[in-house]
Amino acid sequence: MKRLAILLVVLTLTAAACASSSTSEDTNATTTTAGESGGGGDSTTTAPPTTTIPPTAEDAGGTLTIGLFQEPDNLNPFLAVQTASRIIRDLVLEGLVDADPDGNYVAELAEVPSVEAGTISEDGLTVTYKLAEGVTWSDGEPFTSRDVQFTWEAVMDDANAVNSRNGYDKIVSIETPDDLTAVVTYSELFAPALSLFSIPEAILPAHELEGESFSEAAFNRIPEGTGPYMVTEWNSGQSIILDANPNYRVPDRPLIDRLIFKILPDQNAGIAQMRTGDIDVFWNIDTGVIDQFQGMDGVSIQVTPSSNIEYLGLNLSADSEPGNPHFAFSDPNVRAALAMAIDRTPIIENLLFGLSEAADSPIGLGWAAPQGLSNPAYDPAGAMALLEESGWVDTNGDGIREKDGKTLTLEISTPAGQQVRELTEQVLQEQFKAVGIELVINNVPAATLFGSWEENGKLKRGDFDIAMDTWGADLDPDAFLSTLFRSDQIPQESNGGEGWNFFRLQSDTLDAAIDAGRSTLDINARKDAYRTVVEEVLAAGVYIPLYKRSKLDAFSATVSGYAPNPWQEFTWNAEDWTVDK
Amino acid sequence: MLKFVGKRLLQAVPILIGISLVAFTLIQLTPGGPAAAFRGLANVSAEDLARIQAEFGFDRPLIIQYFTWLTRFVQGDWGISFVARQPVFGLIMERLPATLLLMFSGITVSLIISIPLGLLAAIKRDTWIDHALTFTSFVGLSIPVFWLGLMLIIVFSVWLGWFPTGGMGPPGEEVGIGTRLWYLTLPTVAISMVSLSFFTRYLRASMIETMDQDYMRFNKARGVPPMRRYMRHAFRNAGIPFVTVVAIHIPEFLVGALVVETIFSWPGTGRLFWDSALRFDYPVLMGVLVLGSLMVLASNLLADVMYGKLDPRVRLD
Repeated sequence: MKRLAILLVVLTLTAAACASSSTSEDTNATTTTAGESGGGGDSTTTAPPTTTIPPTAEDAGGTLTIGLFQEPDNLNPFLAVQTASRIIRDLVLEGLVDADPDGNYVAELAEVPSVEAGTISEDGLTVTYKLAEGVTWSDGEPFTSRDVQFTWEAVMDDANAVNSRNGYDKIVSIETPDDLTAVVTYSELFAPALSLFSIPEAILPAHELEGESFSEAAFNRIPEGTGPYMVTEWNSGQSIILDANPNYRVPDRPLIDRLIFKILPDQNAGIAQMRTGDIDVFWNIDTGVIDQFQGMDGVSIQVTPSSNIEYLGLNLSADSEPGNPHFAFSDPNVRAALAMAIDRTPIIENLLFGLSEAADSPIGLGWAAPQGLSNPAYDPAGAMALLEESGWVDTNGDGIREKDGKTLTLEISTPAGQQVRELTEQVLQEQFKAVGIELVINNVPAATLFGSWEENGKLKRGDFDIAMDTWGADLDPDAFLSTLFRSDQIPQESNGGEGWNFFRLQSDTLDAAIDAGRSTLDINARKDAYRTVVEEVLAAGVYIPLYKRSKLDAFSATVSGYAPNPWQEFTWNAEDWTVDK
Repeated sequence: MLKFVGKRLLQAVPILIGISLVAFTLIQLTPGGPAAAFRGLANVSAEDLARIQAEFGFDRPLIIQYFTWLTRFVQGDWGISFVARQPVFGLIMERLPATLLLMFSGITVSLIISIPLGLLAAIKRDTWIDHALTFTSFVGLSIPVFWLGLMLIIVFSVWLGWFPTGGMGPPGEEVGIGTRLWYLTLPTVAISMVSLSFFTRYLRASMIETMDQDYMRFNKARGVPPMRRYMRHAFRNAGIPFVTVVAIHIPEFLVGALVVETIFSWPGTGRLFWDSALRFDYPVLMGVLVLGSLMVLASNLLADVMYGKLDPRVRLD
């Protein structure tokens, strides 16, 4: 009934706006997508509201109302899973380091440790943080190395039931020789060490949380932080109100006095409230309703690239066992032909309104993204030649190729009910048909596609030919690459369905490169390793990148100062924003 | 009377337990579950998942989980929300006033409008007024609430700009009674439309039935003035079943609130329930369900008690 309701309102609103119609696509429905992945690099805006003139004291002040169609679960960075949580808590809580738009680590509460500066030991096991001076929590208490130590203790405390201890469980000790130095010692090398305590997590206030369990803590709603804003009110189901932190260490920041996050039930409420001017900013517009916002006076769409890649995943096995070859995809020629048969232009221009870029790698953005890659050129003739070479020939004249009594009929699956994806499948159907491949669309609910081994999830069980999905690397791509491509992550009977290598790709070179990437903290050595990983994956032809997903936010023309940062949520630089009063 | 109420309250206890057991089982049978939210995160390992499961108690048999929940619940400990990590009781109580306000407003408006219309339709039976009212009532009964809500927003908020698109008031400001009523208008129209039509139809039927009685004809023959006949003699009698129907109908407003709150961003328990269902937040779901069941039982009790009070022929023991 909800889907019906959405459909209905979209249709009605569209009729009302006398604009061409397309139904909404739920960008949040990709359950396998890591909650906090971003992207890096260039960004475009359809109408830039950003000003190049630095704001002055006259521009300061005012109230900004932002619409969120998701209420944050809580604001504790170690308990929350909702993106909306990070949008708000990043304004209140800070990490030791932060990520700039290009995907580089930058100083936040501490300098960025490095081997050159002597703050990362040669063996990578000791990381020393030099904390910023003069930082206080919003209640005036000083921020010290004890807070860093406490954050680790809290994560490891069983009473706190945190979401993940990944990395924190490899820390042996945190020493605090003085108030502004924290020395973190690891039991074994942990390559994404710099993201700990920082992205998307943060430092917790020892003086507020010490001796208290996370469950029920008032902190989960009204956190004490060091950031530019502090939460002053949380009206469940209505709004979350943030006011400027008077003790914020950066002079003259934040510029806007008060941020009001209005909780809206869905995209349609966002469209209505943006029209009536009840909200100044609306977060995360579905591609399907983008034309609703484009028609509004004084509203511009901000396009922020992300590291989430829409891709086709090919199954090398007939079922879940990597040893049983797939009737068509076990032949590299067929995989290569598929890649050559795809023309991304109609998908990007017609279905995505030109707001996304073609993707050429599983790592789209950031320091780990290899430069200078290119997709196989769109070449239907070449694709047909490859298929002929492998013996796939149309013998009965029905337009579909056959070999050894089997027709070249492939099934594509994606979560049902997402219009942009369904239309993409139809485009692919036409393009594959042109080279003699029949594509059958078999979309299923997200839970069926991404379900666990026990739930007989189609990906886990290898019960598919081609899957269309979105996934992206975090700023540190180790977890993403390991779970998607390492041989021991092939879900199968013998490992109880662990891992997401549903391509069932086995490559020693690939495994070695993934391991090389996580065995050093030297960023250049890691870049080389990840180039090898990406090249291996692309050469195998099991992962066909389609396009980079963009994040789309609507801004009223009264708001200035937004800058896109693929690695963060859109509020990352809200302290620099101004609003016309 | 007191004995009757006491007996009914005692009967409510096993009913509530039964409802909670069924609800608990059904919720657990849904595919997915709270752990599903964590499963998709790349940095959450199998060990992390097992640790979280144990912390929430999902590693124990269902029946044990239920009795643990029940024991704590009757002691006033409604559990901790998996999502908000806050006590469930507090989460529900901060949302309840909004729902009660919406329900109260919906019931009041339904009655204020349906009583005169119902009387009018009965008195002017088979005239064009009655036919027009019948037609309007059927339209009102047939309109899906979600569609009506969306149309109200489009016409009166987006096009005409007369009313806010949703919420209970401008965020971050003290809300006076005028502003509150302004924000309450459209949600009230949406939530009362169906009941309003239903009440009108019911009262019309009830009045017509009463007016066809012999004593009404006798009244007329005696020369009692029409208004006196309608109001004093007919309405008094027709009103008895009407009051009962209204009381039994109260839970419909609770159900209506679920839809209306979601469309109008109204921060009540209906939206809390919907959000919690999407996020598999079992403790909150259970809390809202039990509270809802309590309200249904209370409305039924209210209907019986009022019937007994109003109709001297009924004795409650």
